[in-house]
Amino acid sequence: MAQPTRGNTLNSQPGQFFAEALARFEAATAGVGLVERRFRIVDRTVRLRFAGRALEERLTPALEHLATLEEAAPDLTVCLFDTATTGVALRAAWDASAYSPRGEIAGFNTKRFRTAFQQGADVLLVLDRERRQAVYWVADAGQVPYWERSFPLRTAFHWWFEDLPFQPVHAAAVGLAEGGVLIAGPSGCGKSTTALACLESELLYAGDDYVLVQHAPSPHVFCLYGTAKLEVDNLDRIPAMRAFLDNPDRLDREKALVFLRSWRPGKLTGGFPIRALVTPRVTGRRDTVLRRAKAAEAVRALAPTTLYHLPGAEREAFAKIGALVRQLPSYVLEVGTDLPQIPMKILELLGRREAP
Amino acid sequence: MDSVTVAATERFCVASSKIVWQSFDDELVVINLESGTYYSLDRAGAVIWRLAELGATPAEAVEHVLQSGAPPAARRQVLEFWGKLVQEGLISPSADGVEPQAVPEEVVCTWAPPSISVYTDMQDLFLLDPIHDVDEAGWPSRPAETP
Repeated sequence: MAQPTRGNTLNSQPGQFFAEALARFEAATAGVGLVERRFRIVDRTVRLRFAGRALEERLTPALEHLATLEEAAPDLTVCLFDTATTGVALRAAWDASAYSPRGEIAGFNTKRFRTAFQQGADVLLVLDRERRQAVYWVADAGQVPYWERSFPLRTAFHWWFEDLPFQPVHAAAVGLAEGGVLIAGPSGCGKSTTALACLESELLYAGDDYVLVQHAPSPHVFCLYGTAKLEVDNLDRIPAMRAFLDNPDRLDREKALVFLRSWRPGKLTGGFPIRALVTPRVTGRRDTVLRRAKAAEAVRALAPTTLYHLPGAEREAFAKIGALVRQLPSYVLEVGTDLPQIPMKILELLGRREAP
Repeated sequence: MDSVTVAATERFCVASSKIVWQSFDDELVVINLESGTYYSLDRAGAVIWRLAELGATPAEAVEHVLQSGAPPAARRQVLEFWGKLVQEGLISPSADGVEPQAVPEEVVCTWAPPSISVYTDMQDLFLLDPIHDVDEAGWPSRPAETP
């Protein structure tokens, strides 16, 4: 089990691996050039330094709505490279037994350093919390899966915000400038359908899969990723999405992926205060029904799936999710097949429409 | 499933740092990040969890709930519930010499038989095949999977 205990210096094993990963990144940029991009997330600047264009082209479209040209000192710097397009390899400093199912590398997670290998996307991420600097490596930028492109760097943001009242969570969010709802639940529960159905209303869109929440001083959600993903079987319910798909040739093996900036740029919002937690349940019935739920029900929809995806700092993350949920009323949204009813019910909840 | 029998005078602790919990109104939600199983404990169950977490023995927990006004039948119910927590791998005997912590005043119990709900729908995600094979650079060699 990876425990944040010893190994907080650059001479420690995790420190030496971080230094080696950073040196390999610098070697990669020497060959293919450096591409720097900056993004603003909750009044902080994230600087992404890419070795060449390959990863930059794949990972930044989801973050484009946060891009800035300001040269402010970065609060977080991530150095990203791959081996296939740069020719620079990176060797693991551990054996097979060090890999945990949720990604943490045993012996390489300390108070200062975080190290994880995300299986499936096959991303190696190592963060020096003291220097607020991370290295992101994949073997081949061309093999980065669509889901990683839809929520790039979510683990880096999770680690970065560990000591702050912010937390990436597995949820969608829609609302108005004065307030909205967080739509929580595991994959397949109806988050995307609910969020995308709201695009045809006055509700704004802050994400359909991963958003950043703040629990103090008051509940607020921030848009991290300007993307939407939908099961291919559900595309007929949102037909307008088809013309803007990023991956129309890969729908036999991928969810449909769209970048809101190209499809519905006016619907993207930076965020809004959270007024309620909503857990969708797909019923197959025509009508959409909203009913009150217990806080624990919302927590069960939000916390296990989020904590599974994000390795490390689980206790802190659960405490932040708990603090958020305790401040908000919780509801179950029984999602019907008549999509216009979905935003109507949410607008009713937000006090913008009278219940019929 | 029958619960296991526990030694009434043994001290226990939360079994792993990968077990996390939070309380909400009258429920306690516990997540075991190693197995993917998560749990909901009712009010009485949450009190027993809190006592176990503080290092009380099962016998001390029984004494605590009886002093709170629980009926004599609570003795068996506490011990059975304690056994369920052990059986689920949520608590385990603590190392010798661990001192129990004082029970805060707010840990009180309006007695009802304690219950625990077990949720296993996340287990498929948690129980990925362990990595056995790595390439010459030390990275796992496996086909991509969807999240």
